[in-house]
Amino acid sequence: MKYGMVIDLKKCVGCMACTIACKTTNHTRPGIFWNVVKDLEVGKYPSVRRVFLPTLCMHCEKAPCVEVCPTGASHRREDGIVLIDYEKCVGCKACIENCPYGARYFNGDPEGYFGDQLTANEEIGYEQHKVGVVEKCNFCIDRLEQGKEPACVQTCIGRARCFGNLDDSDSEVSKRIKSKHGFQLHKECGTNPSVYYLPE
Amino acid sequence: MVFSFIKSAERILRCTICQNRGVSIMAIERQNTFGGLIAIDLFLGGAGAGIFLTSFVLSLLNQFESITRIGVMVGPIWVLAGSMILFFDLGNKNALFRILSNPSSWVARGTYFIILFVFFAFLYFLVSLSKTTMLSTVLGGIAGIFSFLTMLYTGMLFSTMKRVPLWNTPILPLLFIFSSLYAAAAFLILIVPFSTAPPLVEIHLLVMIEIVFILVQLLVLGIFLWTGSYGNTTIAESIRLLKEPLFTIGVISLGLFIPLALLIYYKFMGSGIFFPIMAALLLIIGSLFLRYCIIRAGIRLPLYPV
Repeated sequence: MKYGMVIDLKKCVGCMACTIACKTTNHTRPGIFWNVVKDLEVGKYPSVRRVFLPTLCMHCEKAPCVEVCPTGASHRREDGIVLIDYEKCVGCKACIENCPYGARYFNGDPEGYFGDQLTANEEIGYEQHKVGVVEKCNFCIDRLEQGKEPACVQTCIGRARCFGNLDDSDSEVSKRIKSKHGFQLHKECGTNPSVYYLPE
Repeated sequence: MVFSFIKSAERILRCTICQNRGVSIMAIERQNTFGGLIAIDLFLGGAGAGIFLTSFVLSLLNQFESITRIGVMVGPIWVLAGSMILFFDLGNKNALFRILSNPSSWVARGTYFIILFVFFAFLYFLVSLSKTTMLSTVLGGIAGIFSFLTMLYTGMLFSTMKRVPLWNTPILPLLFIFSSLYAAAAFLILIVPFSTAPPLVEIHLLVMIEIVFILVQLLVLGIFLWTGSYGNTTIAESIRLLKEPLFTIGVISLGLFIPLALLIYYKFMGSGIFFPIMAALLLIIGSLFLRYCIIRAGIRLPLYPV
């Protein structure tokens, strides 16, 4: 069993609904985005094009963040999900610049979206987040345990995202990767990410 | 109307940059995780370890006993001061006791090296207080090995970071090691006036050692910049950032070439202690700026192929 995700770049319209769904589900603080759609201009003049690139933790098989973590707070489960144990994280930030995908954020500011005074929703939501540690996407592990898909997958209006078992060749994710030439970002880093993209 | 004009101007600017560099302006992102505090930590850690190692090796050769005694004491203190800065930069100090849990991490390895270096260096200092014995030499040797590993760690910590191609090179540890060594020799030159021996005899030899360290550092820095300029667009952008005055004037001119000229002048024309002292001060400041500039020039790998 290896959880993975496929994101079809042709179908992503850049509506950012997944970013909002992630924010409301995981209650991340201002400036912290476990899931974010990058609005990029890529290519070389004059062939420049615009790409919406949804990004999140790639849950790599050979995760550089796990290797570099001095306390063992970053760890990879047998189902392929890379998690951070907030109690063990010392907040050294070494993993942030070791992740080639920029999926990690340092939660250093206790303020909410409206300053020091937290809203009732923020007070409850931020309880699960410890200040002074590094955070990232966990594939909505609480939802997975309830048999649901990650919030970003469920909310995607263009059905650009697909979530499932990469080890099962009959799963929807495996079929999409095979039939539509799915690719991984920064394959040269040798991290073998569990998030695949389908070409634009 | 005005808004439309600004948008058009922005578009033209972006296209120009794309044409010149072959990369989208939005793909370039400067790292903001590490800053000046970490540069000071790396400097104190590297230079402190270098001061101990240089002093210990010179004491083995029976040279400059009065200043090497100061060096072996000051080195570990600098390293401890650097570690304190790192400690205050940690987000969750309650988990500090777990920091040695994963030996494959360079943060954990560095912590091991620093603890062992400081421990053996202080033992060496205590044992060798009265006179040099076989035991003190062995303890000093062990501390010397860990001081080298501490210097290595400051570079390895950054050279393993995959997100910043400028740092992700095996040349970076070499650059930091020689930067630590020349800063260490500069510190020893600085304390010569406070030594009990006749200063001029000691300073001549130290100046020779310093000149060698500077020349090697210039060679390593040259290779670092040269390989970088032939690297991918992200490294090229980092190298472009290194062309700022803080690096070109602060590190290369004032931090290396001018001290080198001062030391060579002193070596051949040789009178007055002012030139080597001035050179030593510039070298120490330059060594700190070198780390700061390299950290500051860290450009992140673009997420999407460009």
